[in-house]
Amino acid sequence: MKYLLIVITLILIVAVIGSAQIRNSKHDLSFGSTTTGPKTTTSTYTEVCVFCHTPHSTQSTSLLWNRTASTASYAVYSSPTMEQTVPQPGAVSKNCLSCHDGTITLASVVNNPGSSGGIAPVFTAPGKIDTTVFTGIGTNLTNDHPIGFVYNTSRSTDADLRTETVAGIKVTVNATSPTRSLTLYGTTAASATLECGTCHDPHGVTGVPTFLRVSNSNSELCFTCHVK
Amino acid sequence: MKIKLLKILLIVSVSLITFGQVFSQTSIVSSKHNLSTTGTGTIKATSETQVCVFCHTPHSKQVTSQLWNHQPTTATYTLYSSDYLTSKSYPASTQPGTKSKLCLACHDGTIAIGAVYNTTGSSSAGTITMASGITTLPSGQSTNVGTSLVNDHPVGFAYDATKDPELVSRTWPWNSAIKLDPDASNGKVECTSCHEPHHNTNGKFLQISNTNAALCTFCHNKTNWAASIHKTSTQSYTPSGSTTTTVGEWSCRNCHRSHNGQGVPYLLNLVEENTCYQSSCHGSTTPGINTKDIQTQANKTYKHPTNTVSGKHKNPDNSTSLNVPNRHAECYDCHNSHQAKDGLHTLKSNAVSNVLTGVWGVTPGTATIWTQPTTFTIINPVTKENQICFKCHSYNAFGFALNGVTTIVGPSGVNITDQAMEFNTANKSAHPVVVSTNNQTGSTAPKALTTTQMSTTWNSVGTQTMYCGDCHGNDQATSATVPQGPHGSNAKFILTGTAKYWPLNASGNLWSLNDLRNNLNNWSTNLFCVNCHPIYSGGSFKNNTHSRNQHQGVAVKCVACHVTVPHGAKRSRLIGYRTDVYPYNYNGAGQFEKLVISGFRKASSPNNYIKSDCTFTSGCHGTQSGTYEP
Repeated sequence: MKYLLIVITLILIVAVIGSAQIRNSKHDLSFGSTTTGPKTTTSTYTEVCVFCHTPHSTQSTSLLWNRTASTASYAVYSSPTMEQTVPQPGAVSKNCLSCHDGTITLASVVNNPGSSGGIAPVFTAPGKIDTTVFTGIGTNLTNDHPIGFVYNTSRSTDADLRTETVAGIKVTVNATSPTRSLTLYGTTAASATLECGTCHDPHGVTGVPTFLRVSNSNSELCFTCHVK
Repeated sequence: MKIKLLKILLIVSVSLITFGQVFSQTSIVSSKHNLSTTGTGTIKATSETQVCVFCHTPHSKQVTSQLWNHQPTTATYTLYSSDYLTSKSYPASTQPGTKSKLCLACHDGTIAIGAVYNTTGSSSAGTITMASGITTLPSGQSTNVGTSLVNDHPVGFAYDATKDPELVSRTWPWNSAIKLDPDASNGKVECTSCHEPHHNTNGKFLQISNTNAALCTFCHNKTNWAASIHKTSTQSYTPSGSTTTTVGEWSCRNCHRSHNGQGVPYLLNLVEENTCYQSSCHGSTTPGINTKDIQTQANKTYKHPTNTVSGKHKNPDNSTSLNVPNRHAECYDCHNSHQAKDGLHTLKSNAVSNVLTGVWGVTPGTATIWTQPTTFTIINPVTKENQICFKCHSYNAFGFALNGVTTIVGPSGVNITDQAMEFNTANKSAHPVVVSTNNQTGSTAPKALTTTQMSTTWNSVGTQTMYCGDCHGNDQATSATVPQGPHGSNAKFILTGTAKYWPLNASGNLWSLNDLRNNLNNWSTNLFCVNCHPIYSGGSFKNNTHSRNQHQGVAVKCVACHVTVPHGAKRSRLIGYRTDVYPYNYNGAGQFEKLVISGFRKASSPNNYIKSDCTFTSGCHGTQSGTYEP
């Protein structure tokens, strides 16, 4: 009984908190990946992290980013009920868009494995994300949830948004429910923006589809911010 | 100890999964718009747990706003329109705007409720399966507005208080939950102006509470509505499907429905007069408390055709809609339900009464003696009751009529006549409906009757005026629930009063002075004229002509000397000449069952008449000499 309780409890805690599972997910573009999505056809290209990260980046963005940045200008979301003007996506979102806007090839890794820049991975043509499917966000963000905007500014005119909490340099929404809280990007309420990473964990969460940070069953991810 | 801690952790973990969030009663989660498995309504999914997905997706491929996820309707809608809006040159409704069409994607009933672009996790279009085999919104649901929007509050139209003065003048955006789309002066009213689909705090997903019709009156400012009995009444009322309230609180909703009413246009609960007759109001089936049962009156033998004619009323009516074959009399033709107040008219006055407040009518222009006035001025609102009646009972409605007599036969079997002609102030005599007898310009001295010729009620001779309704109205005695007014009567010509027979007595024979002299045919309680004119009392006639024995023969009828339609006459004292036409001339078979006089002149007093005041081509006094009225 004692052990059964331990096992069940651990399983449930894991289910709630989740864990990173990028290996063999659609974000695993390495040759050995079992993903059903695109992956390199270069048999020697077996590193998983390299498609996004490098320990020594030449890119100006954070997160040890290893991809060529998109230079696209995005059509941003607007709505009659959203009073602030949505700016261009923030840096952290542009990291995601360096694949997902469909303008940059998946192979556009800056620092490939091996010495002297290594050899770029090969992908089946066209080698870019298909912008006709949902994951291919494209450069038109008018029909995508807004990103890059200061959450606090929206909340000041929208009573249906949950209050964010500032703890140290971390700004979260729904801090009272840690397993379901979401993180904004910035260190103060006045600057913290909502980015792709607020909802998505590109490394994956076990049992949660579409790289969401928390399960959206019962729309609970939506309701984390939207108190409808 | 360890086990206890683990148990607590277990409980906490399960709680986090199962009851991730506690939702208030007003959240979308506890509303009918939660179509997921946790929904509280009857329409919900078999397995989909996401709430938002039926309408929204974070990443759409569609060119719509609000991250819309539901598949769009392609319906073309039949739009609301009304004579009133047209008459105001109000900008017509267009097809519903983008926002409204989002709502209509479910609520027009053409698209499956679960038809979305982006289903959970699958990144592909699909249809979420709904329980009980439901696909589209069932047609029986009141929330299914269909593709005919003629009985729904219009959407897709501009808000223009300059065109409709009964709209509250606002500069948009207004600081309110009620918004146009876009929320600017050029915006339009859409579903979202009244409804907030995420919150049901106010019921029916309304943006603001509609208690006291506050939502309706945010935009609609009906003239004099605040003082109307339909707004001020504290009478208890239990609307269908709602809790008991008062008539005043229920306000606009007493008569109007924003969606799916039966009366088109104007969003009426029921068709035309049936709206007024609905339960607990003015109907006969379940009349209200202290409200007048009009339906019973309008079902009587002699009546205005309120219940029998439908689809003819225009707002406002015009010469076409008032004329054959469109002649009609809806409640709204004589009553303005937005302005009507409690209270009947003052006797001896023709000033409009409270129940007739806010109605429009016409006043005839000048015309020479005994001719049809052909010009009319619209009076809105009316100041006198007769202005309402003249709308239909004159050239204004039926145009030219030879000798003032139309070919339209009323319920009493007699041709309808031109009453604006009959009450023309240029006539030598008329009942004081339009002006007092002293102001009857065509009349010659002595204009008024004497006080002895009038009942004590009507003793302001010469200066008093009267209502058409003083003669025409309910045959029953009025009470808190029995109305006055000419809705209908079981007496011919919709006659009211204690005595209701004219020109025939209860046996169907013409009245004569013989009936009075010899107390026949219950004349004192049946002869219509004696309601106001004590022709014979205390054993004597109040007029020396009536006193003449020769005039009291059984064969000599009232209609031998007086016009049968006693509204007014070309000659003094409602005298008619033998050349007059039917129905002014009764034209009966007997020698004195038709007008017989050829010339008449008014005497200086009621008891001063002499033989030569009347002349004849033959019979009676024979041909006399002197000047007679033409």
